[in-house]
Amino acid sequence: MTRLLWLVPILTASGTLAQPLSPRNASYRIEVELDPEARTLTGKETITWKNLQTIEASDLRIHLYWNAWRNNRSTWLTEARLRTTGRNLRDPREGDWSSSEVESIRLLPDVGVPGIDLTSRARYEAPDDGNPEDRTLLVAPLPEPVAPQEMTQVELTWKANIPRTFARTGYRGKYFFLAQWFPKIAVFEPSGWNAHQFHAGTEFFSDYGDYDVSITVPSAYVVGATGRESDRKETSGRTTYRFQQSDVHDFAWTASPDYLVFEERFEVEGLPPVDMRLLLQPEHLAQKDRHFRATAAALENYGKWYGPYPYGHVTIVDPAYGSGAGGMEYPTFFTAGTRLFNPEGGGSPEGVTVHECGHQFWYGIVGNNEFEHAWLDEGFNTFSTARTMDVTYGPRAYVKRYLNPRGAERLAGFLPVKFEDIQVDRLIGGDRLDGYREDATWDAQSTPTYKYFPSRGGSHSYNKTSLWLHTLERYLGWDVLQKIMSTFFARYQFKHPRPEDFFAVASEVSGQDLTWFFDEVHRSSNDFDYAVESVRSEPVEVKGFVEESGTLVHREEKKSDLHRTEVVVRRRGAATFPVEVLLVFEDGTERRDLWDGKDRWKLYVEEKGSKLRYAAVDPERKLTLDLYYTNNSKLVEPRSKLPARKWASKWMIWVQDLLATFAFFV
Amino acid sequence: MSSLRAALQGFGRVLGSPGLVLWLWLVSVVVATPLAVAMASSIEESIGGSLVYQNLRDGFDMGWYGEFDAQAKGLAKTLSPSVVGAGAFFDNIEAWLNGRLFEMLPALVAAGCVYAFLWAFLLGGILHRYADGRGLFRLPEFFSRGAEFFFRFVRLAVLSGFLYYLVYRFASWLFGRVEDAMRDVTVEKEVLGYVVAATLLVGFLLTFVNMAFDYAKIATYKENRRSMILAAVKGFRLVGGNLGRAAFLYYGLGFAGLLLLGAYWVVAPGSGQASTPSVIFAFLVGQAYLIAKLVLRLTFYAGQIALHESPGFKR
Repeated sequence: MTRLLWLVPILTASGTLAQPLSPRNASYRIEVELDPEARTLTGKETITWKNLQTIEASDLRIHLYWNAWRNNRSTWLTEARLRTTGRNLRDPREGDWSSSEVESIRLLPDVGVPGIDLTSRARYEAPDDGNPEDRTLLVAPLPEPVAPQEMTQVELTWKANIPRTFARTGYRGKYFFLAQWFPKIAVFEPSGWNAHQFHAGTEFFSDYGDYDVSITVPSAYVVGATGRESDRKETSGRTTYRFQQSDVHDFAWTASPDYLVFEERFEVEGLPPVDMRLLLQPEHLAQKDRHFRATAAALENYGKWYGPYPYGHVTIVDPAYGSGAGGMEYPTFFTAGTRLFNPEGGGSPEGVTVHECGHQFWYGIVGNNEFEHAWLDEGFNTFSTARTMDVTYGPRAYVKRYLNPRGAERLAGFLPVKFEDIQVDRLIGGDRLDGYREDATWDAQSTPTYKYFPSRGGSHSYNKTSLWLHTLERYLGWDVLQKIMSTFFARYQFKHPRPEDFFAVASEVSGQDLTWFFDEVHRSSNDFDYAVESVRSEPVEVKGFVEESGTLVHREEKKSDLHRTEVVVRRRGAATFPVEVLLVFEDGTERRDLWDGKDRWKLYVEEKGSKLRYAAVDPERKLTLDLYYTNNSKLVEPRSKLPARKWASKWMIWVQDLLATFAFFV
Repeated sequence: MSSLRAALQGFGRVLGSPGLVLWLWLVSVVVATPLAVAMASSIEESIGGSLVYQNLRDGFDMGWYGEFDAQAKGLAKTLSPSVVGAGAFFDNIEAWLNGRLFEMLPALVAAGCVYAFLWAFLLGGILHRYADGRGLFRLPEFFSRGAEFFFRFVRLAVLSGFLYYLVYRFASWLFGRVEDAMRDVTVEKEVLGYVVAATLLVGFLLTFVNMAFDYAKIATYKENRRSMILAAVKGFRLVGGNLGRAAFLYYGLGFAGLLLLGAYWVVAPGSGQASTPSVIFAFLVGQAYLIAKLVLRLTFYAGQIALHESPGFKR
């Protein structure tokens, strides 16, 4: 067993010794060469790994993500088929497949200890499903365990076939986006390795460290990567770029001869400056400023709300058309994604740019386990994106994309039409309530992410979390929620927080036990739906037999100045939440009550000199998780006729034209 | 006779029979109204007594729409925010181009087929009116001509339907090939170029078949043909023999249709009608566009008849 001291001082790109922000216990030095013609990577890497736990590590576990697409019986592809009918998933062609072959793995020698070749001992494991066809996790037993607080160094050589893009990594033509491309060590936790196979519905989890990566490509290629470029050497038509970055837990890069490169500096008072580097497709030149503005909006809002972005630089990648690499985050580096025509005010590419830049905070800086609790970053970031988009751009216009040829599912939506006066607000466009509605009861959010039903998991990670954070924002107030999230951010930056950590911070900072809330939104799959079931408000009538002085008397009289109002509110969903009930009368008076929302229904009775106009449950819509809000209010005298006729008349024009279109064929 | 002159003459004939236009427009209103009433009822039921009515009165409410769509069944499922303004027509043009028209809700496809049969019934009267009819538009005469040619035009529609089917199959194959060929292309502009070219080709094939069968109908009417196979052949021969003028007339009128759509796109009311008069006004603007489109569609027939009647037309 090699026992190394943590001797190697880590230099930042500027060459200065950095104060470590993270434990830096999984560091990499990598040399990799891209052969664009053969579509291969050939690499050599040294992993320096420190055991931070109190138990020994008897083996090393290494992710080989690209083996998820080496055959169609891998766990990733088996699961992916449950959620899509995409042609590349049904039937990848020759040249689409990928692989990551470790050619050698050996412990590096230490003082007085020779190096040991581990290659023959290494084996694949499938801890989640025992799938023998899955080779995404390599286990290398060690001759001697790594003791707590000790470190070890292993050197690997490997060769990889680059896939036609799966999971946003791969190639298209001469465009390469390379993520999860190198053998990456898993995370060792107090109870042992947290090392899952690669699942279709999950992303990644790894430790922080220093990355020193040298990338060799043909000189015509423009390269962008995690970190800052610290060196560049050109020899016989090939250029080697060196990128370095500390305190990150992943490294991705891209190479293409087509990129245009632009740089701008983000400077906002109270936040550290950030150099923004944009790698843009030439045909999107007109959208350059939109990318920078959206990135700056994320850096500013997230920075002010949660904490400053510490790296000083970020690279925005505008992926090539059809590359499938868009909308993904990597430390200091992310892909946005746009189209040739994208009208301003339609929310794209701004939304995806804010979102992926936002992941620098939720995923990059706060590094939760995406295998098991993807909602911690995806949900927090969806919420933050929605809020940033709202404060920066306001509601967006509805956009429908036309020119969707039949028989070519990937050639779609070239021509957008913006419907200026149809607005998509934060709840629908940001929190994505519509997507969640359909999937609400499929899984409890507390289910490990890799066990979510693949086609429904996104709703629980992204939409539901964003909705319940929005609910908390309206329930506790933004000031309180912002303090909760910034406290959580400060406390768990460069760490791997678990759900309980956030719940504890939320209760602590808000000063109230929020367990009941997280029981509903996180630990159960219950859905929310409160409704006003019925409203009645009529002049008080005394009609029938009443008891007067011990005798039954028949009376029939109307007290026209007094109205009896009866309102029934109902909990239609299984989940509970305290909601306000509002009764508004025609004379302008109101009655407000707080209902704990636990019973299945509640009757409100009021007798007063005015007729009820309407009743509403949760009138301010604090409970954004409520799946059906239309039923949250009821007028005594409905006024649905005019809007119904209006929209039916518009629809009728469409139908008449549709009929005429059918007549074309006669 | 030049194509332009034929178009103008056809346009004059259409305008000379406003009763026919009115009658055909009423047919579409009559077929669509029960469907619209059902849709209104679904929307009204969904809104109920909710305060959401205000949002839908003043504009559109995407939140309500999401709930409505999640609960909608049948016809109600076809409501889309894009029915606002010219969006309604873009939707149909796209459905026509990619053949998804026939994959819509069965009730709508059934209504479309009923309307198409109705159109086949009316066609005899339409052709008669523009070829031989003069004076006051009379329904009995119109119907008797329709009945006379109905079964012939249905048989013709079966033949043309087969060709349209082949065009759609070809389109599906063609776009599949385009997609394959574009697998490594990273520039959307380039892909768009191929897609537009392929789309234009598909559009050309659909309209070419349509043009040929328009002439087949004219030949059937003019020559009182009984064999629809021979009539279809004749239609293609007429187009082939007069390709320049026939195509210029047809595609010229098609271009006029695009201009008309563009104009409607500019003036079409949005979603903000908050009172009964403004709702009615917006509806009438939409109807005016539909009538204009109908006039244009009839001008195809009338213009083609005028061209067919002209001395220089090779028969």
